[in-house]
Amino acid sequence: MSPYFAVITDSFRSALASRVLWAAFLAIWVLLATLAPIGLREDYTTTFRWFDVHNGTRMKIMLAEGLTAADAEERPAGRIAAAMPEELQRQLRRVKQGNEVRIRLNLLTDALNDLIESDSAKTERDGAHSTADAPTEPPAFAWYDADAWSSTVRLRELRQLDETADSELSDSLRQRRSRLRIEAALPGVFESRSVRSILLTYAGLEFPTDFQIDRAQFDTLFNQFVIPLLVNWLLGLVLVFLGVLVTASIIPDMLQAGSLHLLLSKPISRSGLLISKFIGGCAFVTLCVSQLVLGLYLIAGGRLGVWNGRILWCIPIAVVIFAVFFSVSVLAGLKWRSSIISIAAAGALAAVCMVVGIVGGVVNARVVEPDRIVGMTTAGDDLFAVTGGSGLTRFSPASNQWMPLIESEAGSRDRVLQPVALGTDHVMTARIRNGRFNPFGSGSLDLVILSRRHDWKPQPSVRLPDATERLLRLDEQSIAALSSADILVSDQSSILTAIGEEPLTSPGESQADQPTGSTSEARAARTDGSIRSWFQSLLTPQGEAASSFLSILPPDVVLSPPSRVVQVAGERSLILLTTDRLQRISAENGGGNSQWATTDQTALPRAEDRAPPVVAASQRWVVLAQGDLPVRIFDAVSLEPTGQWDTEAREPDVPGTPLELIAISDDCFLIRTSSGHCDVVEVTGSTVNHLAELPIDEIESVHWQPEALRSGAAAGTLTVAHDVDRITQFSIERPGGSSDELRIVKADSVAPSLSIWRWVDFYVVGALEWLTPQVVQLGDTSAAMVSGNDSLVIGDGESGTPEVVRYRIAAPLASCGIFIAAMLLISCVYFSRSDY
Amino acid sequence: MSPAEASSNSIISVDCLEKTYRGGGLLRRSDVCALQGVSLHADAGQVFGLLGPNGAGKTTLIKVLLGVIGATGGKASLFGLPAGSSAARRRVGYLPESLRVDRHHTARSALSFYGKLNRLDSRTIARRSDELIDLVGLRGRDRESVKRFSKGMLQRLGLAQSLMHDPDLLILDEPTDGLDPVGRSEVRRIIEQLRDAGKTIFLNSHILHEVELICTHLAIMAKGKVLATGPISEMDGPLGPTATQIAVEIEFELPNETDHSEHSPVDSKHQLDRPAIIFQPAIEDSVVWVGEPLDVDNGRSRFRCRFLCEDRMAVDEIVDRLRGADGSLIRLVPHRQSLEETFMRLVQSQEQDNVA
Repeated sequence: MSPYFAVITDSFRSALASRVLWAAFLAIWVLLATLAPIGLREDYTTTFRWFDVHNGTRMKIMLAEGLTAADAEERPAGRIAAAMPEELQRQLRRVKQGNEVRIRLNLLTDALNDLIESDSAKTERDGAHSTADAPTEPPAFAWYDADAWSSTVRLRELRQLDETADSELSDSLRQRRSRLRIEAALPGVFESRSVRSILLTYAGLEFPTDFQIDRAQFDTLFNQFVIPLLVNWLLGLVLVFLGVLVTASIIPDMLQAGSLHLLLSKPISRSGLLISKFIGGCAFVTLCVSQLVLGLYLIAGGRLGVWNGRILWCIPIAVVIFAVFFSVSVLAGLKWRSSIISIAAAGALAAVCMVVGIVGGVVNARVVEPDRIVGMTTAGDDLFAVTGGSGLTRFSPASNQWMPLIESEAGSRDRVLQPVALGTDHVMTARIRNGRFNPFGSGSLDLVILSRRHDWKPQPSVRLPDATERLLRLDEQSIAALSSADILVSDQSSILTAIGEEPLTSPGESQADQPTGSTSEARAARTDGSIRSWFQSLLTPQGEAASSFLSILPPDVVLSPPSRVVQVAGERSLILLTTDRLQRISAENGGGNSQWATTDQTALPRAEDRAPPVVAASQRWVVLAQGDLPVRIFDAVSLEPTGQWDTEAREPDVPGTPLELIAISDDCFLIRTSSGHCDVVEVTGSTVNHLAELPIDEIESVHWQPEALRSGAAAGTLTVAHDVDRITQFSIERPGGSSDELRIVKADSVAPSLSIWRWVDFYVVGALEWLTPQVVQLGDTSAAMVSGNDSLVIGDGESGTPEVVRYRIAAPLASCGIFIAAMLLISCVYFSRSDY
Repeated sequence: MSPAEASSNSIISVDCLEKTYRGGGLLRRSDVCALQGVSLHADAGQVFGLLGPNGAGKTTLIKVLLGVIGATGGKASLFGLPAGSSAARRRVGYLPESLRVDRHHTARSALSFYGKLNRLDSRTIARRSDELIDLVGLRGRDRESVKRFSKGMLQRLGLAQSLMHDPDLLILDEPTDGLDPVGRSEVRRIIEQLRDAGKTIFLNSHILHEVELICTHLAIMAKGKVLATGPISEMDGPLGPTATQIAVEIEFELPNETDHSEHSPVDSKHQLDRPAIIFQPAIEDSVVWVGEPLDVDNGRSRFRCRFLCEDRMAVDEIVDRLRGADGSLIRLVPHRQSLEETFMRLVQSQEQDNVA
């Protein structure tokens, strides 16, 4: 090894003698010195930003209602609205008058922030008055009044702050208290934010920006976006380019007659010599990259508090990126003996990689993503799916293809609700125009019914409540529409009648669920003084169009985000998860569409993890999972916590972020995670046992179709969409509960025929991606390694399953490794067989 | 001169070695035959010179011996091992034609690097570096960057590196090429020291004087062929172009023709017609006259020439003819060709053969 080590050392020293290298070092040090003053300050989350508002319309309406109510001074919302600027008050009054008034969210949040400031200032002044009797300006309107706020639901944090004397609170805490008071006054309006926020500073000065996120978000942002960005561009492009510039001369220099002949006369092998030179070049780049990454690691740790040792993984990744280009540079150097051609060859490869990466990305976004199945349902033997392109398709076994019912479109701004089967002959869904980024969408929102009788052609039915995010079939007669603020129920017969079909059930059976004249009166009675119903009437000018749906949400329940609603399997009860509590609501008197009542509830601590929560409920257990937090188990009736499944215990069997939980029996649940796998687990009450993993990777979505419900038994068909739009069905059965063995039998598997563009993607783009080193995709690898997660979950899951970006870790590394090995092999053969 | 036969202590053995550089590429360049059946042998302790004009194939032969390039035919071995094998290369020290040492090296670090390539341990490298730096006269400059080295210093450094592992065979490719007279003298002195130390040296040069001074054995190459090989003492002997011919230099006097006194001046060709009568027709073509005829006393002229003959009988007949023409033999000696003459004659005859 000694002679080869000498060659490596010599190559390294040769590169070290380069002026370009020292220029690179200087650039690195300057960059690190520039970044070093970046810091952060963590403070209480006090001010509102426009993106903190979850439901702006609700805020407008609540403020308008409060402002114009007769007892405005006794209502928190009224006192807040009254303290706002005159112009804003005037606009709110116009809202109350039923006019369509657009008020920019940042105007409202600015006004609220002024209130926070003024309340804090007022408290300070009051404190000053009590210590010194100096005359001051007249006090501003005090928007906070303890009596008015006594009726609000206050978080524990607010209660504690309210109980603390003003003199004991810092400015930040006083402002925090004001913010919490406003949140309590306007429930369901704001996104849940953590107590403390991060403010970026530079040399001690705060950045003049609205960039205000919490610690967990900051860590995610830093590890999953900033670091991969640095690896891709700073390390992957700038440093690698510099590295290629410096090392391109290593091989041509070696090939000069006076140098090469002497080296070849020594008792060393040519391949060994070449590989040693290659390693020497890589070692030099490692030195450069290590300086930069270590510097970034120290700055991230020392200045930003992110002591993430995984950042150091960027060093080998950057060296792999460099090695890819250097291997081509070596081969070109051997062939043409020119540094310039070596650099050009590496540049050409970079261009090819970039082009292939871009083409692959575009084809994926335009061709593959629109076909990706994000939700399914079955009606009889027919399978329906919602696609990533906001389309609705039905699988046709005859043509072995997905037949579009609503066209899928790349980059669509629309949203198609998860389809729900109404028996074997009907499927309901809805298409919300411009609903992907706005729950309200634009235009009218109609329920769409697909009927077997009409060859599954989409037909508009009754008007849906605005901002409907999900549909549920509560039982054979009732369906529910879940919106961002309400749960509304309608009967199945009326929506079928709206498309000219006979109800599935006899009139006598469904009488109790019909929104008859008497229920209209009941609704009228309920709307009296109800903000929610007034909100509905404001949003639906047509009035009667949405009258099929009645709100069932108890008055004491506010769906503040993040919220989840799931039905208890086989029961007419719903489990609601809101920011700080888990509630169970049930239909009073066991049925009908009358307002439901809360039967039990339990308070939850504020979750530190920002990942979207998922809930499932069987008749025995309610299971709640959220990101890396332990999976919590509650009794389904009392909602008392009974146990938890620690993440450390879960990860070996069920890695990744939980995306979907489905109760398949009293004790058995399906858990789908961001890793692309789906597992069957058994809840014992105190913990969870892993039973089996479905033998499928790259799972996109699942649909559970239970057979006739048997007491406590799991039996049904699980349809799994995977690898974009393939389908595999499993028959799952566990006859007698926990004592019996779980039987999972693969029932059917379908690989739909590829369209022309999908064929091009699979065979042409796929082949190109395998023939070229996937250096662009190594950004994924670095993101996964730095974050410690193999996927990124985007979205809060409020309106369906959140989007998952699964990082490609092994494939880019394998691709680059194979490419480097192939280039070196060719180079060694060429070098060994050539005359010099 | 006949090709040397391989002996039991042959260090270098080359038999019918051929090397053809293939043309190719888009322009379909023609093939180049760099070596055409080269055969030579060098024994231990010899300083073997490889002499030839540029393009003769000398460097190609050395590259084959070192394994830098592969032969397309024939055999070459060092120490009985296949030329180019790792085992053979371990015992060879090599100084390339124009040594290039990376600019980041000092003389000492370069010696250390090349020592490691020869698989020497650090202690040996340190010891040998000290010895060789003294030997090549780089003491005091050994920690200086090679960027500041003159060509002569680089050659001396090259010699030092070639000796780091105390090789049994030293292959020097144009060791004094591009050096000034002082540099040449220095390098030559070192080679002489190595020769005196009993090293086998294979030297490639196109500087005749240098080869003449240093080498004990020689091979003359041109156009990829060995034209002659053997001890250098035989290279400058009285041999003619063929092994059986003898070169003879003769000086004699002949009486002037009486009737020629009326014709003056007489051209030199005419003057040489008469003395040519002493040579047989077979020899006449090889006669080379040296200088103009000299008039001497008693109406006689003195002539000087060289000629080639096959045997002593032919010389006797020339003497008889001289005496028969009333001539006097002044001097008759075998002619010893200089190395340069031999080289030029061989190379020119090779070119003539190629033209023919």
